[in-house]
Amino acid sequence: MLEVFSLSKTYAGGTKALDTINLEMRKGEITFLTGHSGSGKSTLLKIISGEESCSDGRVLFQGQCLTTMAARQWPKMRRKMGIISQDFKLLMHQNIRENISIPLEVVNTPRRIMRRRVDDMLEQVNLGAHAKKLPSQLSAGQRQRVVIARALINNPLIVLADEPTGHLDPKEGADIARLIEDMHQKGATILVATHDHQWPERIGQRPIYLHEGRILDNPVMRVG
Amino acid sequence: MLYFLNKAFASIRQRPGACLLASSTIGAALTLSALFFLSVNNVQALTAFWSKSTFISVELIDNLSQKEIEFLANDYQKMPEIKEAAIVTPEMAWARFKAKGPKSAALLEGLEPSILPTTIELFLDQTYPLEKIAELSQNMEASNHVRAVDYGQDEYGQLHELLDVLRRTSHVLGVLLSLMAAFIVANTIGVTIYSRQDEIEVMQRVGATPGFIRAPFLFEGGIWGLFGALMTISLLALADYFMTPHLSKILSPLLQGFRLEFIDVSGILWIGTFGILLGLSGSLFSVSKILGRKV
Ligand SMILES: Nc1ncnc2c1ncn2[C@@H]1O[C@H](COP(=O)(O)OP(=O)(O)OP(=O)(O)O)[C@@H](O)[C@H]1O
Ligand SMILES: [Mg+2]
Repeated sequence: MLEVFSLSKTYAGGTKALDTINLEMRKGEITFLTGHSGSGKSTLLKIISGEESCSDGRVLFQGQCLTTMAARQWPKMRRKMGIISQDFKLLMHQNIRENISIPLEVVNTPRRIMRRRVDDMLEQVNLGAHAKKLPSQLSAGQRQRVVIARALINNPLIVLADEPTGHLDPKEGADIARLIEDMHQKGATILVATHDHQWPERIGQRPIYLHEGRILDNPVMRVG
Repeated sequence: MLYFLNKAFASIRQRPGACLLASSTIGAALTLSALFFLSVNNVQALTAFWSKSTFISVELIDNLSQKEIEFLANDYQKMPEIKEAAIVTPEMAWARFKAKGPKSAALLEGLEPSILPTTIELFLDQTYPLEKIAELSQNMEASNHVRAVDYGQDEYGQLHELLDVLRRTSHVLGVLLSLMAAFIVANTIGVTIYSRQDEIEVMQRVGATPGFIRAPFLFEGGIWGLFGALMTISLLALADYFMTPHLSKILSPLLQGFRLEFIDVSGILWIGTFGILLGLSGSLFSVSKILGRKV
């Protein structure tokens, strides 16, 4: 479903963030990206979601080449992706319900259906009691759950999650991790970037380890 | 459509300050421009007012017999442009001058009516441009019974050049002023919309098309423009109500019956249209600038 071929990215400042990355994901898989801060995890996710351009290589999603796709095709493509970014990008002037509804509004979902879907989603992420609050009135973990709810509301084909458990206390982090594992159990395809080495091991997954923009094949070579 | 309008109103409700700022900037720009164009309009109307006349006064030489005077008046009467030719004897002119007030009467103290010339006053059947009247007057002056012809050419001549300069510079000034107004409005709207970049980015992230993102901003810009136009119209109406009577009173001896022009229905429509256009184009420009960057 998702294929990355010798992808490289050099930022305008000259930082080589990604160096010939190869990656393949099948439908229903969960894949973990780990690595030190600055190893290029976010950059890889941003290129897949079209937020950044790449310098070299290709990304195929459902057989379509994302790296050469015309700009006007991106909106449609993004509707198939659930993006959970490090910067939450929540609308601070709108309440939780409204924030979660945005992806549905964009595709002109009828009000009645929208209400039901948002109610369901609020239940799933355990935010039912906070629907009318503004993001500024929530804790970091609750806000993270709003971002997850917004990413999932449209039943995306793939979820791109950047540090969904970062900056959270262990309990909240564990809650979010469970939420994402549940999504995987229900059949979602998920690519997660995380600092947490234990998380993939806990559920028997071998993470992809990024170091200075390269994938380290042998976990023994892990530095630090 | 309704959805976008709803969104625009919701956003205005969320940030009334931004709306007020954008609207009043548009309002100020419109008011400035409107005041400028009103002055230009009035100057132009004034020029037109002065450059047209319906009245010629023909001053005859002394010592013409009654018959000769009547003969001449008769001649004038037959001209197609002239509705009426009235003979004003020195005595009539004397009486008229005295009737103007005690000051005028005092001026005539110790003088005789016969120092005044006989004139024939010609009332034209309609207003004619100055050139036409000048031509008529020249023909009349050619007669050796006529000493001078007066149709206000002296007053007009003095003002003519001044008005001409004003009219020509007004075009340049008008363009400069409009550019300045557009620049300020674009900047204010730019800042207002820039502060909502996050909103645009979120919309892009969840797969909204550029058109979908732009629409509510356009509506909002239009609404700002409408508010701005309403402010301008109210300001001008207030100014008209409180100031025009005073201005007219001050200027009336100079203007002799000329009425100051103010905004009318078409002016209001123009202001409304320009306001909405300013708001629309300002927000279109700003949103497109943000959308143009790859996110
Ligand atoms: N917009 C940018 N312009 C220039 N350099 C950038 C930009 N974004 C990231 N970088 C650089 O690219 C490298 C990889 O950054 P990236 O954000 O992908 O790391 P990361 O693995 O997500 O780190 P973290 O775990 O802290 O989130 C870093 O050296 C960073 O400084
Ligand atoms: Mg990162």
